[in-house]
Amino acid sequence: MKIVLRQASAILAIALLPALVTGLWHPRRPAWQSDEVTLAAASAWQNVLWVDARPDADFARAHIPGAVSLNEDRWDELLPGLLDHWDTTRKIIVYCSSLSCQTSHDVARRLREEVNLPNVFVLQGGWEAWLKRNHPS
Amino acid sequence: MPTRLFLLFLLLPAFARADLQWSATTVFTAAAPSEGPATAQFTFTNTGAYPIKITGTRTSCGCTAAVAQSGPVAPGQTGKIDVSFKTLNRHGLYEEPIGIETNDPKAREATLTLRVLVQEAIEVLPTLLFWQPGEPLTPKVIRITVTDGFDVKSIDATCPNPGLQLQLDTIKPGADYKLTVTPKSQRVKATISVTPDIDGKPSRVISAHVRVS
Amino acid sequence: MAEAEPPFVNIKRIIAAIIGLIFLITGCLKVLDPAGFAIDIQNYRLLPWTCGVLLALYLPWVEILCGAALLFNIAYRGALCIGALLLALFVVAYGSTRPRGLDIACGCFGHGIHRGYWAVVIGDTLLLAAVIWLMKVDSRPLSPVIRGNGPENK
Repeated sequence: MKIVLRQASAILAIALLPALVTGLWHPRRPAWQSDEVTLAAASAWQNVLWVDARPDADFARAHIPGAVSLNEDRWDELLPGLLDHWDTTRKIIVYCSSLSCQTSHDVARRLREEVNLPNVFVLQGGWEAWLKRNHPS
Repeated sequence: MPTRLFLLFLLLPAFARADLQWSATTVFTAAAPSEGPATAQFTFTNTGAYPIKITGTRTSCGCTAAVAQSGPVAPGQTGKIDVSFKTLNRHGLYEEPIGIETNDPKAREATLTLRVLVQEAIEVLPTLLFWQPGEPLTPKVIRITVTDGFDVKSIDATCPNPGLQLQLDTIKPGADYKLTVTPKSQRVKATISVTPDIDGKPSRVISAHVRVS
Repeated sequence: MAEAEPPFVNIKRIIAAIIGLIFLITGCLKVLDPAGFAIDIQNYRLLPWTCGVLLALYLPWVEILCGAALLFNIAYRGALCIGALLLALFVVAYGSTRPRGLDIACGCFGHGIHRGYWAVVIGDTLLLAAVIWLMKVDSRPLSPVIRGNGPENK
């Protein structure tokens, strides 16, 4: 048993060094801060700008009150409208339809990388999560 | 005896293999929006003894379409699924999951991944310059980089708003440019149009936005 | 007098080498894309993001070292112990995804590679069973560890 623990400890200890190097210098190292936020956490934030990444028809049917539409089908047309509502004090939270929807992440990525906006997050669970909380029926 | 039985048990996965074998479950493709939708194909082989049919496909957004060949695939034959991804107005690397339903009892569902790199002829970064209230109206820079594989002869940058001063410098002809933007006053809201000249004809205009509070 | 070797010693060596190779390959695939692996971990919805990042940076190297240890018979028992623990935790974590309504890639063979729920659960359970079996039948190293007490060193 002692031998097993000694050997296992050695492996776990040795692995720390390359892990540290990976975390500091790997070109594809992950960001320390996640871009996802739960509805519960977002509800406590002040000055949030909601961005709806769903198709036009879904946005027209219903959306989070005050949300601005920005989908990739009409990115060039809709982006100026978002910028009109934005200032540096606002946190942007992008949402699409549900937990498995990837579109909000794509829109958030472009807002961060192309438009260079700070404080851009994705709503975990998307529109479904908001509906569940605000319209449980 | 128990050891032999155990070793036989370890061999079970070999018999549990699905009859539908994908040549690849992740396919990568690159495309420019001006070239239309990005397309890719996923192929599979029926290694079983019975015909296999793709009974349904599922994509996560309207930007991706997956069409399976109609009809069953006989044993030993290959089948395919054609996938297209809308590239218009898109930029960057996308990973789109595609759900597949089959009548293969060993693998009723499968998930394929389409990775698409969408690139324009030029990359304009950032696409927003802003000056906060009270911030000095010092010049800021937009970098314009030509994507590999595109033959860009020149770049044109224009803005109808007289509240901005633009200066376009060539860092490396056909490859790298710098657009310096200087607001002349507060409260400017403008859009700059950046147009690459490819093979003597203008291409899609990229917009950059300026906000001065 | 040399001790008799345990039964099926060749089969044990082969199985240990296969498992070592699997750990080595899967560890290397994850090391190539730690950001992708962090996303795969986050998709399990079990850990906060920062914990997932730490795991994404550290776990692949543990796998690589365990794989190498099994392949080259160094710190063999320790590697088996860690391997069993990792596999057990993984089977439970991934096994819980479907009941929780998640359809995610396991992240085992690199970011975005989706083998299918049952293929992962059954395959890794069998791998775990193999590791536990190796731990059970092995009462000493498969070949003498260089510490001066193997049969040919007596």
